[in-house]
Amino acid sequence: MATALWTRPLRAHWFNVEARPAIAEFEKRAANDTPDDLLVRVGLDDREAFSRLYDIMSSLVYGLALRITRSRMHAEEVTQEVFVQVWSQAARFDPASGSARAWVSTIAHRRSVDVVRRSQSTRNREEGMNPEPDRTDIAEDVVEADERERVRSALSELSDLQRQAIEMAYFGGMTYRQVAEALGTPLGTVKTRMRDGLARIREIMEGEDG
Amino acid sequence: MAEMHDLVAAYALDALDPEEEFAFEAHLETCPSCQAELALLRGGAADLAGSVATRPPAHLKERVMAATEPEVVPIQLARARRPTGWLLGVAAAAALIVGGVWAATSGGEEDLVAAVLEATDAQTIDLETANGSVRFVYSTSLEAGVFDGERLDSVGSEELYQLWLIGADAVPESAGVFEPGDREVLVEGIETGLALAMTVELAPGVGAPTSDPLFVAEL
Ligand SMILES: [Zn+2]
Repeated sequence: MATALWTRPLRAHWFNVEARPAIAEFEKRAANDTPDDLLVRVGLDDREAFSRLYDIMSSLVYGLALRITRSRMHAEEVTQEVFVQVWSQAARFDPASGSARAWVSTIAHRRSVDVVRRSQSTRNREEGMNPEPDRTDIAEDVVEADERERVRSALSELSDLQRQAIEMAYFGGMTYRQVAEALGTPLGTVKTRMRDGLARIREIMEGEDG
Repeated sequence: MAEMHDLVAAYALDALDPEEEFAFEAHLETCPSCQAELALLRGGAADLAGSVATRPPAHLKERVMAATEPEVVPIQLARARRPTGWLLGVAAAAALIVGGVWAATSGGEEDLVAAVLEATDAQTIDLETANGSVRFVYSTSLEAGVFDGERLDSVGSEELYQLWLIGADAVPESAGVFEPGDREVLVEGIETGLALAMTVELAPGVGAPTSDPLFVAEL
């Protein structure tokens, strides 16, 4: 005989009571998760966290890939590959050894540079430094625009040599040996400028973050 | 090793030759000073990436979510015992299994669905829930039931309905997931004394219910 149990108090009786406080706590926290929190949850196969991490980080990944590969098609491919890798390897992320932003952009940079280096032999590299992407690619989004502005202002505080060496390597996909050759500067100097410049940018940006 | 330490910034910028990179990574494993330095410099590199942040086209998110969609993992209810006559069809459809529910695609499942609906001991439960009416037809002799969710309301784009079987221990075990509109959702492991319940959960389903049941029906 089949019976519908409409009047029975359901939750405590039929459902796993122990899970409830943890779930409530989880939902409460979800509203103001940092990228680090989200990436940790992605490591636990949390699809909602992954969706929100994409919303927060995809501009960083896509913009970097676009700048380095100079191709929307490649930038889309790289972005997809990066997030597939983020999804599958997020459990390896350790907040103690770096931020989620650094972790994700490291993957994005590596992939983008690989694309450029793979096609290096067939591509005409005479243009040298990568140009800015088309203006039409630049989102008129307040968040992105603000972020871009803050970093550019930080970059303006570097010496010319620091900025050039870093940009040629990071955006141009050049090795530090190629940079040294292009700038006619000793290898040791290039390494030092790269180090000091990167540390300075972090220092300025961290100061702004409070 | 002083020379190795000097390579950390170039490494953070992916600007080493392959051989140097290989050597530096070996050094990095054993050098706490380079590990700390690398964390700092990678933060600087991420800041640089922010200077060219550009919103990707909207369609890309769908592609990314589809490309990372978890594969459905076969989980079987411990108490499910299947009539041996259908085992071949069941094996062929193994990739589609969630809990005790089979998507009705293979001949074997369709046979079982038809057998339940025509079973001489078939019983029918019709229920009105807050999300629409449902029907569950089951046969204890076949240890299976067929759930009709065709008249249920749609749920959020990342949500679905999940069925639960609850035994004497009062701990719900997943009996599978389905989308609103699905009819003929096969539920195996049916026994007298169990209760069937249904919740709305985030795709691809959860290990324990996170919302109140839309119904609980004793079988
Ligand atoms: Zn070292």
